[in-house]
Amino acid sequence: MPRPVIRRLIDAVPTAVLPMVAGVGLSALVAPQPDAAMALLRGLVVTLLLTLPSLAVGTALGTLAGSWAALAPRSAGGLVGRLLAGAGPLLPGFLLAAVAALAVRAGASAAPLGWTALSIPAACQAARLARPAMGRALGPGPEGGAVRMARGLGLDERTVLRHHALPQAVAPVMGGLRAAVLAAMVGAVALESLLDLPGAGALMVDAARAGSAAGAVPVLVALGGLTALLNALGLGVRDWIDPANHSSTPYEGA
Amino acid sequence: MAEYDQPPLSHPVPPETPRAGFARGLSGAAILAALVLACAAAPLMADGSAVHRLDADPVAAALLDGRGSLSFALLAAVLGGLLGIGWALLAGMLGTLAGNRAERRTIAAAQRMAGWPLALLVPLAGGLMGPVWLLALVTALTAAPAVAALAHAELSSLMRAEFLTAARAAGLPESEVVRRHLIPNLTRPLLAAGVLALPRVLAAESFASLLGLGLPPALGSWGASVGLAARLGDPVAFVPRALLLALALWAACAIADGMATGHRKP
Repeated sequence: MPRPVIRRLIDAVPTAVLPMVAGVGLSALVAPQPDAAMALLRGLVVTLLLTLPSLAVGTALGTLAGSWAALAPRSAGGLVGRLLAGAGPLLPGFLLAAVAALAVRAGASAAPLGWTALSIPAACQAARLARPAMGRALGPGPEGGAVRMARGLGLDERTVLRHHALPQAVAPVMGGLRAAVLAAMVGAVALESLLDLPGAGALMVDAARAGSAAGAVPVLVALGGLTALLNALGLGVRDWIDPANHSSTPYEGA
Repeated sequence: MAEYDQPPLSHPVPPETPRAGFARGLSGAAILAALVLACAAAPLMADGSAVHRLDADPVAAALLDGRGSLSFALLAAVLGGLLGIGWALLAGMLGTLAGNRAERRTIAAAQRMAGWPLALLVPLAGGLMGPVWLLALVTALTAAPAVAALAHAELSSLMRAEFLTAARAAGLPESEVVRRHLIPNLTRPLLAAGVLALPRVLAAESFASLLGLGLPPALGSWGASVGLAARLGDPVAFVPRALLLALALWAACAIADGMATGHRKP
């Protein structure tokens, strides 16, 4: 694992791992069911398996589409990027989770639909942030200096885009991943509850429906920790990718 | 390699102007106003079927549900906006009275809270607490940290503005600086920060109601009806409510974005 990611994960121990441990511990101590702590641990794994791949795939595709929208706005990929960037608020995660639940009731398969529903808000957020960042990286302003220099040195366009422009578009996306993580977490809770998946969100909703604070609050604390963990992963990837953090390393792309 | 639609360096594309943000905000406000009016007039369209809402026309029933969602969102947004702005002003006052460290800590708490999934508190409150006003308060609290962070950023940037330094250097008393320069220039940024609460509370309420832990059924809510239709597998009931909810969320976000970009000078 790259060193910046490990550093961010170590920094996130108090805000991510401790709440999860506290949630599981609280659950073992105060929850009414005897196996509540184990159920919460299993639920956290299910929620992580729902959110992490969706965030990764959605962010990657959204970043590519948003970058393409800045490169070639009138191409098919550019139109998809512009559509994603503009449609973000129209497609909240919980509403897409409801659409997925409706499709599952009609006979569709739950897993791919669930992942798709959770990855769309992340893709929208990534496209919204990547499009202007790519525009700035290729533009005449000070942030386009690296690309102009690379072109001036005679590097081919593909190398310039891959090694100089794209990292500048990805860095703000990873920095702004917090909103996508929150949307994915809320969407995952809705999806687990609507599709009866054994995730931590479904545990919290069931406990809240039963009026059991002792069952719901530990799950909420643990979900907060999981959110902080995903945020830290995003920031670690940002530190790893951001060209500003390794400007002193020799160029390896040519 | 394909040719890219990049302008030549001598003709750069100008960045998005505040006017564009203002236009987006205006269109969002128009759509939201139209939705509010349509929802208010929905009982006339329902033709007496308002009591038996499940039998009513799906569009009329969706508009009837919007009355609960929109009125609750407006109430909670006002509360959340006021709480957030109060938080930012408190941080500013602490900065003046107790030093920069207290101000930084107060705002760092808001920024840290804004990164937590506070929307999950709303269904929790809906399940564990009874009254609607308490649910509105919790929903407002979920939006307040983000409002506070934005309001404080605007406040800090205004306090560093050159015209304030110039006014003080010209010998204007502090009360006059506040009355003639600070308050008129502060109103719009704070309002823009407060409006940020509207999409957040609408989304949080709809999410909680979708899980059956939001507004009581008697009040009606887009989220509750969308959740019920999704569970029953009823696309006819699902589509109008989901579309109206998505449209309302887009409009609220457009107003918040438009206010945030529209008040900044180019």
